[in-house]
Amino acid sequence: MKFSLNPITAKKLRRFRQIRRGFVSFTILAVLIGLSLIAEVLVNSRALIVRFEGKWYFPTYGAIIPGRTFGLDYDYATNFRELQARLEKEPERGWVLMPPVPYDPIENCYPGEFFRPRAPSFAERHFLGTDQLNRDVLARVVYGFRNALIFAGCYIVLTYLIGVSLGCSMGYFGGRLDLFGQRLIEIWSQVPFFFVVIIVASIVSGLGGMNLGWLLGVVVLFSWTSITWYMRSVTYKEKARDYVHAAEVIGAGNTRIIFSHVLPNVISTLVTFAPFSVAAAISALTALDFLGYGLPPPTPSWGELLRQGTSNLSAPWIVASAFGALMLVLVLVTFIGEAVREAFDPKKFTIYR
Amino acid sequence: MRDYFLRRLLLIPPTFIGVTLLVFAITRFVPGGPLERAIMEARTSETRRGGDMGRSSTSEEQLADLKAYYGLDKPIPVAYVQWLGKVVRCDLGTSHRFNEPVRDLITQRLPVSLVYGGITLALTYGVCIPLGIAKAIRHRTGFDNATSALIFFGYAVPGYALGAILIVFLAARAEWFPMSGFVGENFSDLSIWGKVVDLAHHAVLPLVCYAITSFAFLTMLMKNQLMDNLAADFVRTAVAKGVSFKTAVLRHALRNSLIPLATHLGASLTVFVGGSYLIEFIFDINGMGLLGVQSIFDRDYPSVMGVLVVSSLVLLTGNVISDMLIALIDPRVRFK
Amino acid sequence: MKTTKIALLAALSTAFALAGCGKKETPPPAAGASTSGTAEASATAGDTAKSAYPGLEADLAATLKHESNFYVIKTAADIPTNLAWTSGPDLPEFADPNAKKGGTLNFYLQDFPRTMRTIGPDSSGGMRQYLLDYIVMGLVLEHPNYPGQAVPGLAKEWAPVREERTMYFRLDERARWSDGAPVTTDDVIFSFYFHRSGFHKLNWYTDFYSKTWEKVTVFDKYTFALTLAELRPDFDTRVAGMTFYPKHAMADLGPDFVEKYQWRVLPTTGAYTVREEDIDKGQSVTLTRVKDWWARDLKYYRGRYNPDRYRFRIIRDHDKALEAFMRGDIDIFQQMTAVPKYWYDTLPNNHPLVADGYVHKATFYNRIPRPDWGLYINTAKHLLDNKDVRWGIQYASNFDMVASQFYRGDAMQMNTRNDGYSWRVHPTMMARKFDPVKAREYFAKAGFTKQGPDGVLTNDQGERLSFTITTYRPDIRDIMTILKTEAIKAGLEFNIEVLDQSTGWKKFQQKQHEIGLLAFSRSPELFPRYWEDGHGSNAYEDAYIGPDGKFVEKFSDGTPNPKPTRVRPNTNNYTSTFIPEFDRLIEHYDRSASLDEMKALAVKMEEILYEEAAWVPGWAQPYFRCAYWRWVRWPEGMNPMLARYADEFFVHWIDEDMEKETRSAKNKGQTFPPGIHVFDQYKEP
Repeated sequence: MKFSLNPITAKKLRRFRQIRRGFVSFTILAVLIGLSLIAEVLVNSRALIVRFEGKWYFPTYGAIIPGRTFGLDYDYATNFRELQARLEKEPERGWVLMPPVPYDPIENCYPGEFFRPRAPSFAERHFLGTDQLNRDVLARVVYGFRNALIFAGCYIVLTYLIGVSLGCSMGYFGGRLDLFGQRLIEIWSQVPFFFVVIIVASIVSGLGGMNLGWLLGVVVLFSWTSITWYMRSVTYKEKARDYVHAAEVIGAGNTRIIFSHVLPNVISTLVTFAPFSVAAAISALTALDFLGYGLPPPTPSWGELLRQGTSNLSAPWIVASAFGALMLVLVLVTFIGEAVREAFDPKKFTIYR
Repeated sequence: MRDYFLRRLLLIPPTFIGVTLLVFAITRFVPGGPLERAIMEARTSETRRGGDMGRSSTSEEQLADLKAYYGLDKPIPVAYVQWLGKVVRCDLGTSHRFNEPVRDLITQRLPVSLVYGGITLALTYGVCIPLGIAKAIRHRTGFDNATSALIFFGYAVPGYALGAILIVFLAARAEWFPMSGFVGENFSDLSIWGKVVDLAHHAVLPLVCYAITSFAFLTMLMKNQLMDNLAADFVRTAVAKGVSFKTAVLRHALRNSLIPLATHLGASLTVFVGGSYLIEFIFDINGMGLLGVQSIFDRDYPSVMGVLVVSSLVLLTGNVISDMLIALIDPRVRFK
Repeated sequence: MKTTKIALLAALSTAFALAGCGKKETPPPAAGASTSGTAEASATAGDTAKSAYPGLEADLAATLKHESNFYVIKTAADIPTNLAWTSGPDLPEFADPNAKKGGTLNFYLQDFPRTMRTIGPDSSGGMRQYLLDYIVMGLVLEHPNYPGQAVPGLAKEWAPVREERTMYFRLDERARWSDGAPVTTDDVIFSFYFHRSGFHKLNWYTDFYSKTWEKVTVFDKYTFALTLAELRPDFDTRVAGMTFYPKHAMADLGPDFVEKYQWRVLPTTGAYTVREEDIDKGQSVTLTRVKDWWARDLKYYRGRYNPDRYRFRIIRDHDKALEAFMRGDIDIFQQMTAVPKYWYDTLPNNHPLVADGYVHKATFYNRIPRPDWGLYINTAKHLLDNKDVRWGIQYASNFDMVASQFYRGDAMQMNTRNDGYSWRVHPTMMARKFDPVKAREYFAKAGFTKQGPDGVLTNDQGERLSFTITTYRPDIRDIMTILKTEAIKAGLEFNIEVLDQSTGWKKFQQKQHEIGLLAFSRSPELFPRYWEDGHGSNAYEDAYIGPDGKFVEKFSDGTPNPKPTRVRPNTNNYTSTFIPEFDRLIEHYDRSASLDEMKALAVKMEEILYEEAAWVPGWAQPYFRCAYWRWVRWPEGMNPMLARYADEFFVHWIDEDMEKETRSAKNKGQTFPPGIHVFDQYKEP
C-alpha cells in the first residue's frame, strides 16, 4: 500500500535525510529496534526449527514444548541445545536449527558448574561473555534494550501528553490556572522520589508485584513537571509575541491560536527535548534498576547489568557491555534528535560568515 | 510587576505548607516506619550475649511505648501542626537515627553540598554558555560535530557507575586520588593552601561524575536557542544594517537565548541542597543528598522533613528568582 | 571553609526568615494548636514519669524498698557456709600468651554509629560489638571451646545451688572500671534497676531482667546471688549474658537516658574504650586499649586484646572496602564469607597480593548454630495450606545448586532448621533433595496436573502454581534467581520480590507474605528454641480456647481451635505453623531441666516439622573466611570453636616489625611464601 505524503512533511524528511550524522544514526537505531523486535529469532534458547522423527516444530513463539515431545525424560521446556547435541549423534532422527545466539536472557548456561562470570567466547557463542549467574550477557543486553525501548516510548507519550496540554494551557491562559498549576508543580516536584518509589514498591507487592507499568507510572509521576514547566514558560514567551496579538486581533479563538500558532512555534523547544526525554527515560530506568528498585529479578535490564559490572570489575566484559550499549543508544538517540530538530524547524538556520 | 513578585513571595508559605503537609502525610502511610525499624534492629541484632532478646515477640504495650518515643502516637493533623510550630521557631526536631538535632545535621552537611553544588553550577554554566554559542556560530562544522559527540558521550555516561569504576581504577589501584570523603583526615592541620589542594584533590573524581552528564542539556539548549534567534528577522536586520556580527550575537541574539537557561537556573538551585545522592553515596561525601535519601531508607522522618524544609525553601525562592531573571532579560514578558 | 560557612549561614538565615514570614500567614487556629501541641509534646517526650522522677538515688532506694522481693539485701553473715565454690574447670587457654601488644588495626564500618550507648534505640549497629559484645567482661565467660562451661570473668568464683535455682557469685576484687573504680555489688543492683527501669525504651531488656530472674540477693561488697525463675540446662552459663553498668558514672540517670547518654562513653570493664576525641563524626571511630586493664594477665584473657588501637573508618560499600583492603588501608577483610566472588574472583589465590604472600587468606570452620536460611512458607495462605503443595515446593527448591554452585561447593544444604548446635538435633534427618519429578508427583496430588503454555502447572479451577518469594536482603537476589529458574522445571513459578528492609520486615511480621527467604541469626546457645517460630499461639491469636471460652496462649491451658482465623502479627512464626501436638512438645521442652530429655523431644519435634514441610532448608556455611595482611598474626589454630567472626575473641595481634618489613618488601618487589590457610580442627564430621 502506498500513501502520499503531505509535501511539507516530505520536504522535512528530505531535509532530514540530508543531515548525514542524524540519518546514519537513525538508520542504525532503526535497524537495532527492528532486530530487537524479532529478538526471539536471533537470541533465544528455543530452536528456530526442529525436525524430529518426521515432524516439523517451530518452537520460537508460543507455548513451551515439554522435553518428552522429543523423547527426553522431563516435562519442562526442552533444552534445545542439548537436543541438538543429541540429534547430531543420531542424525536419522532429525535435526535442530538454533538461533545465532542460542541463549535466552535468564537461563543458566552452564548447569552443573560454578556460578561465575566467563569471558567472551566465539566458540561457545557467548559473544559478550556471561555474567555472575552464568547468563549470556548479549542476550541480557538485547532483551534489556527492548524493555528500555518500550519503557521510553510509553514514557515520552505520557509525559508529552500531560506536559504539553497542561503547560500550554498554563502559559497561555495564565491567571488562576497558571497559579494553581505552578503550586501543584512546585509541591509535587519536591516530594522525594525515593519515598514514592518505596511506597509504590510496597503497595504493588500486593498487586502482582513491580512491573513495567508500575515503574512507568512512578517515573512519569515525577517527570511531567519539568516538561510542563518548560512548555509553560515557552508559551508565555510566545504569547507576548506580535503574531499572537495579531491573531487575537483578527478574532482567532483560543484553540486556534494555541494549535495553529503557538504550538508550531514552540515545537523547536519540544523537539530539542525529545531526544533528551528518551535518554532521560532510559537513564531513569537504568538508575532504578541499578539501585534495585526497578524490575524484579531476573528481568534483563541494563541497570542490573551495570550494577553487576561495577561490582565485578575482574570481569570487565560485563561493565563494558552495559556501558557500551547504554552509550551507543543514548548517543544515537541524541544525534537523531539533533537532526530532527534541524529538519523540522520551519526557521531555517542562518550562518553569518 | 512589583505586585506580581510580591504575590509570588506571598505564595511561598502556602506552597511550603502544601509540600510539607503532603510529605508529612506520606510518612505516616509508608509501611514499615521507624517503629518497625527499631523493633527489627533490636530483634535481629546479632549479639553473642543476651541472645534472649533476639527472638522474642513484641507486645502491644511495647509497641505503644515505642510509638510515643517516635512521636507516632498522635493523629496526622495534630502532629503536623506541632511540627510546623517548631519549624517556625527554627527547631527541626531531633533525628531518630542520628539522635542529634536535625538542624545541626543539616548545618554540618550543607557546606559540603554548597561547595559541590556551587562548583558544579559554575562549571556547567561556565562551559555550556560559551560552548553553546560557539557551536551555534560554527554549526555543522567539524568543531560542532566533535563537541556534540563529546558532550553526548558524556551525557550517556551514568555518573554513579562511572564513579564506581573511577574509584577502583584511579583511586584504589592507581592511588592518584583519595578513595572517598570531602576532605582528608588531617585537614585541620593543613595550611590554607594545603586545605585548598586537599579539597580539590578530593573533589576531582566526584566533580567529574557530577558534571559530566549536565553539559549536554544546557549546551544544546543554548545552541538551539541562539540559532533560532540568529535566524530571526531582528538579527538579520541588525546584520544587514551593518551591526558587527559579534555585536549582533552578543547584544541582540544572546539575550533572547538566555531566557530558557534562566528558567533552568531556578531548578539548578536544587543542586546546592540536593546534590546527587548516588554520587555522594559512592564517594562517601556527607552532603545533603546522602542525608536525605539515607533518612528515607532509615525512616528517620524528622530528618526527611528537615531536608525537605531546606530544599523546598531554596527551590521556592529559586523559582521566584528565575521568573525575575526572565523579566529582567526579556522586557516583553509581562507578569500580571 | 570559613567562607562557605558564612555563605551557609546566609542561605540558612534567608531560608528561615522566609519560613518565618510564611508562618505569619498561618491561620490563627493552627498557631494556637501548635503552642498547646508543643506542651503536649514535651510531656510525652519526657515520659509521664519525668515530673515524678525524684533522681537516681531516691528512686533506686524507693525501688529497692518497694520491690524487696526482688532485691534482697542481706549481710555477709547470711552467706550459706555449705556452698561449693568453684572457679570453673581448668581448661586450656585459646589465645597465645606470647602475642605482641601494640599497633593500630584498621577496620571499617558500613555506617557511622548512631550512638555510643550500648542499650536503647539505635544501639545495635555494627559498632556495638566493639563497645559491648566482644569487649565487656561478663560475670563468667562461656569457654568458646567448651560450650556450656563457664570460666571466671568479673566473678572470680561462684557456687551453683540447683535446687534453689540460685547461683552465688563472688566478684573479683581486682575488677575495675576503666576509670579505676572497683566493680561491686552496687553495680549489680544498679544494673538490674537500670535494665528493669525502661529508661532505655527497649522493653525486651526489661522483660529479660524481670522474667528470667526471680531475685537478686546481695550479701556484701563482692558477694551476691542470682535466682533464676526457671531451671534450664544452660544454668551454668546463663549469667554470661548479663551486662553491668557503672553506677558511679551514671548518677544523672533518668527517663531522659536515651538522649542524655547518646554520645557518652561509659567506663567499661573491658579492654577497650573510646576516647571522646576519637569520635570523629561521620568519619571514624577509634578504640583505645584501657591503660593497665585489670584482667590483662588473667587466664583466658592474657594474649587477647592486643593492638593498642582499633580504627574504624566508614566505607559504605563492601566492594570498595575490599579495594581499600587491597590498598593496605584496612588490615582484615571479613566479608569473604558471604560473598564467594570476593574469595574466588576479586582476590583469588593467584592474585599478586596473595601469591606474593603479602595478603593471607584463611578459612576457619566453626561450630555454631547456623543462621536458618531457607524458604518460610506461610501455611495460612491459600494453596500453601495444602501439605502436598508444600512437599512439592520442598522438592522443587534447588538449594543444593545454591550450595554447590553459587557457593562453589563450600556451603551445604541444611538438614534441619537447627543445624550447628554442639549436638546434632536430629541424628539422621536429611533435607529433601531437588527432584522435579517427585515435586510434580506431589503437585499432582494437590490437583495441579495440567501444564500451561508457560510451563507452569494449573489445577482444575485454573489456578496457576505461582508464588511470590519475598526478601529484604538485596544481596541474595541472585540466589532467588537460581531458585526461580530451577523451580520452573517442576512446573512451579516463583516470583521474586526484593523489598526495602523495613517494608519487608513489616510484611513478614504481618504474615502477609506467601514465601519468605530469610534467616534468623542466632547466638551460640546450648539448645535450639521452638516456641518463637513454631508455637501455634505465635501463629494465631485464637489458636487455643480456654475453658471459659476465651483465647489462651498455651496448649496446656485450653483446647486447640480447629479453624483459627485471627493471624497473630508481630511474632516470628513466619510459617504460621500451628500443630497442637507440636505445641504440646514445645511446652514440655521449654520447661525441661534435663538436656537429655530435651534432646529426645527435639528429635520428635524435628520429625513433625519435616512432615509439616513449611520450612525448606536453605544453605549453611560451616565456616568463616577472611583475608588479612601478613602482619596480622593469630594463635595456633586461629580462633576458638564458637567464633563467628575472625575478630570476635580478639586473639589476633599485630607484628609491627613485620608490617614495616612487608610494606617495604612490597615496594621493592620482594615476595614471601603465600599463606592460604584452612583451619578445620572444629569442622563437623
